[in-house]
Amino acid sequence: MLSEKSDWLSAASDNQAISPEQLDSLLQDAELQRSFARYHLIGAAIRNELPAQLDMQFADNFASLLDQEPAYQLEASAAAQRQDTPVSFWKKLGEAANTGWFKTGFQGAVAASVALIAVLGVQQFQGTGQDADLNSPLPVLQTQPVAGFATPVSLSQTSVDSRFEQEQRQAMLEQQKRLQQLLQAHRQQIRVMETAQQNTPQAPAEKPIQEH
Amino acid sequence: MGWKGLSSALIILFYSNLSFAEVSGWEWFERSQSSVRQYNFEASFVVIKPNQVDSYRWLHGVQDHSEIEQLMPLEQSGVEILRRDQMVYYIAPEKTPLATNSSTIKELPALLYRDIESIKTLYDAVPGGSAQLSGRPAQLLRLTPLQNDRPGYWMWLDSQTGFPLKIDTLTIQNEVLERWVVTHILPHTTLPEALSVAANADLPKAAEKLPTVSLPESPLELSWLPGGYQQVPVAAAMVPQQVLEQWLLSDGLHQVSVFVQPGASLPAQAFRDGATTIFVMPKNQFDVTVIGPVSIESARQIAESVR
Repeated sequence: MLSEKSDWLSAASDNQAISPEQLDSLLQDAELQRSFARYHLIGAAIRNELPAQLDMQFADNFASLLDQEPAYQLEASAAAQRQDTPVSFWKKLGEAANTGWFKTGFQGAVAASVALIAVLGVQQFQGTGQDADLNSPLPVLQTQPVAGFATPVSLSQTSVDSRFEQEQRQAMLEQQKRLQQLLQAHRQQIRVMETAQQNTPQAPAEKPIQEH
Repeated sequence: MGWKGLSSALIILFYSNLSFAEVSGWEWFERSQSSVRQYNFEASFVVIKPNQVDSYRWLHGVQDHSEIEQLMPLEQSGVEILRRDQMVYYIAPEKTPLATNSSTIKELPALLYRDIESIKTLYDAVPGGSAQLSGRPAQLLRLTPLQNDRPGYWMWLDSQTGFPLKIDTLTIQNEVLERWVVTHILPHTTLPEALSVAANADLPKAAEKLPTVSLPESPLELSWLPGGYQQVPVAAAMVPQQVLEQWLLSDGLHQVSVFVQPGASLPAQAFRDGATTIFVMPKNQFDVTVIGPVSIESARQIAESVR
């Protein structure tokens, strides 16, 4: 369909800012909303964040959930008003349905539910991503270069997600520092292997060792 | 007829056995192991990893039936390693030297020093063709792992002396992970002069006693070891801080360390440092790191078995 529109839409699904007009059009156009959801799904698939079993009832579950949500509020206010003027309320409602105010309010409710789907949808994909790592036969291996220490093994090429690049890099550096330390500790243990073996059956000794 | 056939078969068997013995892989291997113990030499070698090259100077001598060996990194300002028979010293500038009991320098290829019988339980030695290496005729010896999990080794040995000239560490698919190459060798008839200082240096006679700090009791245990590996004691004093548990596994030739740390909620990752696999994986609220010359698949299996 509208290819120039899908550009910003795809950018938006990567968490990049969009203009208020674009937001409006997204909120109004059901077609766009569907593409938006699709882009998120594609993104999640590319990042290997899909849950092991994709829940096919996902949309239906949410629809039923959302059906329940606003219904409570409507009923509560309806009940409250019904107590005062039980008859005239329905009349008023009939009239109000045609006024601009009610239309805007209703659109707002639709927009809110779309936003909720988008947010919860993303969270669901991200949440299941980590568990999938544990369960899948081969974990998703990051392929960031390690400065001067070990070559990362690229079993699966994962596209770097620009959103998290900064934080991830920081975390990776920390991680590498830790691994470097462990590698050092591993080598150290190999060096003193015989001494450690001789020591184990013996009585405790107290002299501390200095190296490092 | 039957007797003739049997005896000729026996004779053929006998001769083929003899000719086999002449070029047997293990005999080549034994020659290479004894050559690094018995000769006086000055050598240089490089260790080539995919993103790193390290060069070392390596001296060895025998005096009054005792061995003296020295290993010095040529580039980084690192520790200098000295061995006098059963004692190995790690000497770093401005630091108290570390003295340990060991009849080998662990930074040299373990293959050249470990007990041949235990290596025979892990590998098959098959002699290959001969090649020209550093201007000398060299014999190729292939060590093929009996179990798929271990790295394979291709050794090129000097045809006359059996001295190792090059050792490749390979994956099961014969991809080179790490290459050890002698770049220069100078034989001596007596102890190399450079070693005479080290031979007479005043160094501690006994290994430093490792303090018997024991790690805090933890309910964690390792429920799976790769075939041929056993748990060996770790020096608790050298376990880094923030490590809740460390296990050391050994198959007599290779060592694998398993570390358990508080989790940092990072994804599972694998790295390679030459032939060494570094695998880290979140497991429950911990991070399990496996370091050693095993395949990523085995490393993952070891990490999974922590409970």
